[in-house]
Amino acid sequence: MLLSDTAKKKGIFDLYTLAIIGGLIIAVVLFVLVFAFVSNLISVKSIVKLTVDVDDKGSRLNSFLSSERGGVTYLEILGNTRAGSPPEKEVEETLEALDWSLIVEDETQEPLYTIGDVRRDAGVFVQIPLPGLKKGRIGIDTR
Amino acid sequence: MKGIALILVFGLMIIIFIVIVPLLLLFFQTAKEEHTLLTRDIYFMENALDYGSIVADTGFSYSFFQGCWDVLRKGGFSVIPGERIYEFEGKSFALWFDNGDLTPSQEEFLGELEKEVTQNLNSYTSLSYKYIGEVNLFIPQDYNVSLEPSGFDLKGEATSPSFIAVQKEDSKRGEKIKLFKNSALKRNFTSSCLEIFEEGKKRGKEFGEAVEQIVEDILSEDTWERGGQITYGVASQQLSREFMGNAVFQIIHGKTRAEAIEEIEEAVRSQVQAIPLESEFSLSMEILELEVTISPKNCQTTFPELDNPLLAEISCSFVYQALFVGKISIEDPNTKLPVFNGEEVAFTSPELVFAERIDFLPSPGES
Repeated sequence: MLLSDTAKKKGIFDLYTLAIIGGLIIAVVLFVLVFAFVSNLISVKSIVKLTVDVDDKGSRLNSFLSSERGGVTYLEILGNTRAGSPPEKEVEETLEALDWSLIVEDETQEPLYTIGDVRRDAGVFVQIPLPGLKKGRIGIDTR
Repeated sequence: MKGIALILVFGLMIIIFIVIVPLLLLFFQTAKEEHTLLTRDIYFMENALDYGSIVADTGFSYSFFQGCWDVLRKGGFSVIPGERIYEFEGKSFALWFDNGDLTPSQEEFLGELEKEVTQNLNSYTSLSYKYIGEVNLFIPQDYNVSLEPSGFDLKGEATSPSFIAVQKEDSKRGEKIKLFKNSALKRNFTSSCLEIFEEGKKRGKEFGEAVEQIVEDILSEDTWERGGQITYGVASQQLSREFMGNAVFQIIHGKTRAEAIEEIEEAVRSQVQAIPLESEFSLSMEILELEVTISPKNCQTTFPELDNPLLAEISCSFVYQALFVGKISIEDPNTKLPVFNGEEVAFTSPELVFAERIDFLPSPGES
């Protein structure tokens, strides 16, 4: 069947229109997809950051507390403040070099030793053994 | 037809892009998030587990110090055995010499120390420890400590059939993680605990034997007569044993029994205090008890002149007894341990304390 020129033109116009509309839709969908993908990445990144952050705090805390000075761990040295012995200078220097704040509390949560200011909401607290069969707490704030 | 097919293809593509792809993305995102959160929790708990080891290890160290201090103060015992207890002014001392050497062996001492350190360590681990405010650490409360001497150092091992564990539950995500770690602990203790004990073993026996010899020498038969006879003018035949004893003793020795007791006590005291107590540690001795008694026995009165009832012959034998109890302290002033010393938690020097008793009794032939 032969189509008139007008009809032909109209058909071609419709086809082009559809192609443009289709292209636009694909563009919009692709944009949404890229957006979703990027936001997904950002979300995962933030979770990863959180993971690294939490994990990092724990790892750093463990590394610090298990560090040794003359065969004695920093945890033990800090715990010894309960027996009235201030930590060795090297421990203080390590804390200053790391720019960390630290607090050691006794069994009644009275401070035994502090360096800097440990923020209650941002600091990381762990319970520790103290001499004389007692238990205290250490808080660090890594900023 | 071509146009319709094209439209259908476009429509299909749109459906695919709009519906399926976002669903797939959503699925992967959720899976990634879950994986990330789970990984985070596992990392976090691994750290908690490592921290559990650090806590147990530090507890082991403090337990040893406290155990060493306590056991030395109790003369090498976790609990002083009943037959060895000497009570003085409300305090209990372990006897290391009781008319003979009772010094505990190194094996006994280490066994008692192991017992004490085990108790202390399990007291530490029975306290719950929180890690970063989130996780409770489970550290075994059934540790068994063994100590192996290496020179004067002690190689300590604490073993338990249980594990160090951490557990976390997230009911929202239906997640429950429990991680375990080997709980064995190893430490090399270089404190002077064993060295002080060995010094005590050597000095305690020497001292006990020296005191025994001093008392025997001072109360020798050559110096202090075991009996005597005197002729005495009496106003009456009714003489008490005490009276007769005093009279006989005074005439034999030229002094009263009270004076003699004082003299003997002073001699024992001064000679015991002169025993050389040289040691690389700070060694001291305190006399807790020193009591000398002279008791007249078998006193008899006879009248040699039948016509003279006022002249009597009195004979008496004497029993000499000396009880000496001394407290020996051996302290290492160069070592300070972080311990509860009965008054406060403070750095305190370890000090071995024990008592020695010499109860001099005359042999049957002498009484």
